[in-house]
Parts: sequence; structure tokens; C-alpha cells
Amino acid sequence: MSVSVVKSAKYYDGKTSKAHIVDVVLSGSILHITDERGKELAAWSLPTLKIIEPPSPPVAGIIGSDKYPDARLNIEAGKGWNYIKSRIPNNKRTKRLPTHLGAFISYSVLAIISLAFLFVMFPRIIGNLAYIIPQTWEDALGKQVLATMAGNDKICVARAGKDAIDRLTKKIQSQMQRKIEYDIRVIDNSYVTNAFAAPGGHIIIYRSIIEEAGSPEEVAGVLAHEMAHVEQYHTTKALIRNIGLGFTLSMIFGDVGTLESVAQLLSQMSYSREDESAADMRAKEILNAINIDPRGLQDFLVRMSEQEIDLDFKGSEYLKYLSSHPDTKERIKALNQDENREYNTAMSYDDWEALLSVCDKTKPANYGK
Amino acid sequence: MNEEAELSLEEPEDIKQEVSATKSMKPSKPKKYDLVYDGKTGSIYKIVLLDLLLRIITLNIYSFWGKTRFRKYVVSHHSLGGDRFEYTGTGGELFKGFLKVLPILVILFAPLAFLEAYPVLAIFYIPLIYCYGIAVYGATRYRYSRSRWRGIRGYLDGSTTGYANLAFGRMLLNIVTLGFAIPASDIAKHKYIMNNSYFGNVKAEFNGDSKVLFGAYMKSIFLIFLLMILFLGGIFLSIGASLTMGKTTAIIGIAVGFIGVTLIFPIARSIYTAALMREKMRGLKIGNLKFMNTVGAMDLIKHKLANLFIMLFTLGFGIPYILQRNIKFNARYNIIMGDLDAFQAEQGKDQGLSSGEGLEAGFDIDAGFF
Repeated sequence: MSVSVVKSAKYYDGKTSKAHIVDVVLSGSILHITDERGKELAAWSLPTLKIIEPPSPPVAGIIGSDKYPDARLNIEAGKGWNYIKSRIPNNKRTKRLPTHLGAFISYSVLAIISLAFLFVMFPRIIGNLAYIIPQTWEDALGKQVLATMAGNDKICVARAGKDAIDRLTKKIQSQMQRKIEYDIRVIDNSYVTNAFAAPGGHIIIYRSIIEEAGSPEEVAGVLAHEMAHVEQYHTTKALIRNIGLGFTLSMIFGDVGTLESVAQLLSQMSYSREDESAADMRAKEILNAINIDPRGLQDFLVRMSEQEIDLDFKGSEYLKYLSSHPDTKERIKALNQDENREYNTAMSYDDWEALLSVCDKTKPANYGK
Repeated sequence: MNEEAELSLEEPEDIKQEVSATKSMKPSKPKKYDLVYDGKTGSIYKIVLLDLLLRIITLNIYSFWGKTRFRKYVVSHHSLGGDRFEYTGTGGELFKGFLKVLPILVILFAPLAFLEAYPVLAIFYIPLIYCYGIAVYGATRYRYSRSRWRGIRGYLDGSTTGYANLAFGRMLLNIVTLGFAIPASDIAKHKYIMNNSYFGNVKAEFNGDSKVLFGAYMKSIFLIFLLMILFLGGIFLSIGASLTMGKTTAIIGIAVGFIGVTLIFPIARSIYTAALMREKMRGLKIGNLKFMNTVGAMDLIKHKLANLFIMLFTLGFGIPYILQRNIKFNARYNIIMGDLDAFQAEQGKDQGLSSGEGLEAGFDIDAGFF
């Protein structure tokens, strides 16, 4: 049973660009394409047919065959197109949105996996670069960080006070696994109550920490905490992670802009939590080893949370509601001591007096050295 | 009488065949064909919006498929002589190409991330610029090989490094001549690509001439300088006036000046751009086909200004519409001349590419005619 599909359609055999005017006849399941002289140019079987492009008048639609990938049959709308279309297997029609919905789902899964990799694995991996950075580089980086943070403030250098803090530092330093120069500076700026450990062993403590402390054990706690950060490379690692993630994101995906900074902020936060707990625990260990009461650090954290201050400048204005107040409670709890132990004082009474007056003499900071 | 006339009209078979043979060899009077685009703005919107959504969710990985979908739509809605163009590329091929060159992309772009701290790293721009040439040629080659008309594929011969060397060399020349070599350089680069372009087995020929182009270029430069002087002068005046008239006037003055400066370049440059578009078509020949572009500088300027206003007033939501406008603009001014019926090409060599040019993804290149 033969059905004439269309007369005078255009056919291209894929070998040359010559247009053949053809008659198309469907016999059983074979489409016969014959030219005007009756010569058969092609015979396509129905299952191999596919729609390459639907017609949009006045332009004709295009039918192709899987078996002859280069050949093209042009059929116009209203001139046999609907008939042919009804004979073509459903899945050979052009992709519509539903297929892309399927793609949507698989891409989302891929995205989640990529996200997991990016935010969990990748930073951990590149953070380890911190261990192989040369000491001089880390040192320079640290000085750069300090210059950015407190470059304009003066440092407190009253001799007796400096000696007092140096003695305390040496005691803590004796327990440090990392044998570098731990350089402590007290910053003359009463508006800030905070302390920070920059890469390379450069630690800054703002004078309010000392002046508002309830006991020298509090100062010792803060100092041990910061030195623990240095010992564990926390800041260096965090910097590399942040630069690394941001850099990698923008490099692979072009300028992702806001997405990137959100990602950076998020990763910055979650790592800090781990680092803070780790620094707390290490500080507790060290202080116990040198016989200083670690509850000083606990008292300090209690006071800070009452004033809504986050040590290490972790919290910033708009991150406050995301940041660590429940977190701080955890940390305070973790510093609980069960035993009733006899501790030495963190420093002599004279040293404590001297330390309280360390800012009687100040000089400009010079982070260039 | 009539019978005789009728008898004499009847030619013997063999003479008939000879006449028809000569007829098909000689192109008949050259006809003009328009490049027809029948895509719809609504469809462009759907494609662009879905692409944007999926890109966000997939951290831009979807871009390869989104780009392909957009290209497919645009290409397949262009037709010539009643026959559609086809794009047979796939997102997977582009993605594969990207993965293959990912390490190279990292190495190329990595040093530049630390540019602020170490300005000396700017030297790494040089390999980057060179690779841009490679990416352009590779991307063009891929698009050619995935484009068809009447079943026949495109093909790009020549070597990627050959083009990259040329592009890099011409860039240096442009710098050394303070830009005066730009018209000649643009023609030279276009020539390299066109003279290596094939439709099936038919080679394209390009004989561009940069002399007329240079005139348009000089007009552009002159206009830019003139407008710069006017606008900078205007800014200084407004700042001066604002010292007596207050902050708001100053801000308005600077804003107007800023807008003016950002407008000057595209407007003034349009004189050159339009001339370049015209010359690229004028010098092109494929088989018996010749090309013509009828765009004028004013057409281009009006088009660009309209785009700018649409962008501003729709706060960016009009971007798909702008894309549609650009496509239509391109199709409107291109005319093909010759005899499409007599035009013949055979299927040419297989380009043999299994994946897209990966580097283009790093540079975000789109190398197509439309």
C-alpha cells in the first residue's frame, strides 16, 4: 500500500549541496524518495527517521535519517509535514523543555556534589599548604596582616610591662611544639577589646584586654589561646583557604561575584569554629602543663559573651546572628575543670602591676621590620 | 505559417541537452538573497532565563549546554534560499573540551590572581593573550565543523598556532604604531580565517582592502578625540560651577560626563565598526556567491543607543530582547548575491573534532557568524 506523502519536495543527499526536487512515497514502512524522472534517490525506513527542525512558514521543516546522517529532506507545513511527523517515533522529535527538566535534576545532584567538594574537601586540602610555606614568607604575610589591622595604632612599650608579658610568653612558649619567635605586642587603642594571632607568630593584644581583666590568669588564657592558633597554623591556613577558594572559584567559573564572597564568608565561619575549639583545648593543655589555672580563659570568655565580643575578630556586624553565641557557651563549658587543683599565679604581683601600666609608654608600630 | 513556426521550435534532443548544459554552467543573472531570521523574542527569553537559572544551580557548569541550546536556536532559525542552517554541536562536546584544557587554564590564570601584591606578575598576561588567539581559531573551527547548510558542513583549514602567531604579531604592531595599524590588522586576521574557510569542498576567498577602512578609522579617532575634549571640558566646567552651586550639581555633572564618555567610544567607534562589517562582506567570495553588507554608521549608532536605553530602562531584564535585536540587525544588513540554484558544493573533509575548543570557555568566546 503506497501513500504519496508529498510531491515536489526538496532533497539533499548530503554528498553535494545540489537540491533535488523529489516525490516522497510511503510504502509499508519505507519512505521512497524519487526524483522527477522517477529515479529512486533514497529509501529511508521509518524507524530511522528523525525530525531535525520543525517547519515555520515559509521555511520548510527538515527530516533526516539516522542511517544517512548527512542527507536532508525538506517538507513544508501543510504539504505532508503532519503526515510524516505522525510516522516518526516519539523520541526522535526535537528536545523540548521536559528533557531539560531531567537534565536540571541531574545537574542539581552534580552541583551538590561539587559544592560538597568545594566547601569541605578542597579547602582542607589546600589549607595544608600552610605547612610548607617558608618561614620568611609566613613572617612577611603576618606583618602585612598586622599592618592592615593595626598599622595606625601605637604599641605599648613600658619596660617593666614588656618584661612581664615576655616572662609569661616564655613560660607558655616552653610548651609549644613550634619553635619560632613568638612576638607579642600590646596595642594602644582603648576602643577595641580583642586579640589576634597573625601568621608567623605575630600576636596583638589590645590594652583593654589587660586593663579589664579580672586576673592575670585571664591574660594568660588569652595569650595561650592565641599562641595555640600560631602553633597550629590556623590563621595561615584560613588565609590560604579563603584566597584559594575565592581564587579557584573565580578562575574556573569566570567572575562569580557575589556567590563567591558568600561562599568565602561561609567557609571562613565554619572553620573558625573548629579552630577556636582547638585553640581553647590546646591552651587548656598548655596552661595545665605550666601550672596556671585555665579557668582564667573561661572567665574571659564569659565576660566577652556578656559584652557580645568575639575573640579573634571572628564575628562581624552582619554575621552576628549567624555567629557563635551558642558557640561561645559550648566553649565555656568545654573549659570546665573537674579536679580541684592548686595552681600557681600566672605572674608575680609586681609583674601584674607592671603589665597594667605597660601603656604608660608608647611608640609607633613599625611593621616594616 | 504557424505549423512551420512550431516545427522550427522543436529542437532535436542532443541540441536541447547541450543548451541546457551550458545553461547550468553559466550562472544566470545574479540574484539577491536575504539572510532570513525567523526566531522569536519569546523563545529567546525562555532559553536565556532557563540557562540563567540552571547556571546558578550548577555553579555555571550548565553554561556549556545553555550556550549550545542558544546557538542551536539562533542558527536553526536562520535560512538562506529557503533552506535552514543547522548547528549540530552538543553541550557535552564543549564540556569535554573544557575538562581537557582545565589544567592549562589554571596555569594561565593562576599568576594573575596575585597581581595586586606582585605587579611584576603582569608579564603573565603575555601567554594569556597568545592563548586568546588559539582559543578564537579553535572555537571558530569547532563551530564550522558543527554547522551545516543543505547538508554540507563547514571546515576550517590552516593552523591554530599560525593564526595565534599572526594575531599576536598584529597586536604588537598595533601597539607600536599607536593604533594606526588596527584597520590593516583586522583585515589581515580576517583574511587568514576566511582564506582557510570551506563550505564543503568549496574554498572561500577573501580580498579585503584596508585602505578605505583606514579612512573610516581615522574619522572614528577624530570623532573620539573631539567628543572627549567636549565632554571633559564640560565636566571641568560643571565642577567649576558646582564649587559655587553645590554638591548635587557636581554629581550630576560628573554623572553626565561619565555617561558621555562611556557613550563616546561605542558611538564614535561605530563609524569604523560599520565600515569593517561592510568590507568583510565586500571582499568575500564563496563559489559563485558574493556578499554585501549594507549597514551604515548611523544604523549601527542608532541600534547601539537603543540597546543602551533598553538596558537602562528595563534594569537588565531586557537583555534577551537586546540579543534578539542584535541577531535581527545582523540578518537585516547581510545580502548574498549569486545563483544559489547553480551553487554546488560537495561534502568536504571531516574536521575530525570530538570535542569543543576548551580554551574558549576560559575566555568566554562566541565565534559564530550569527
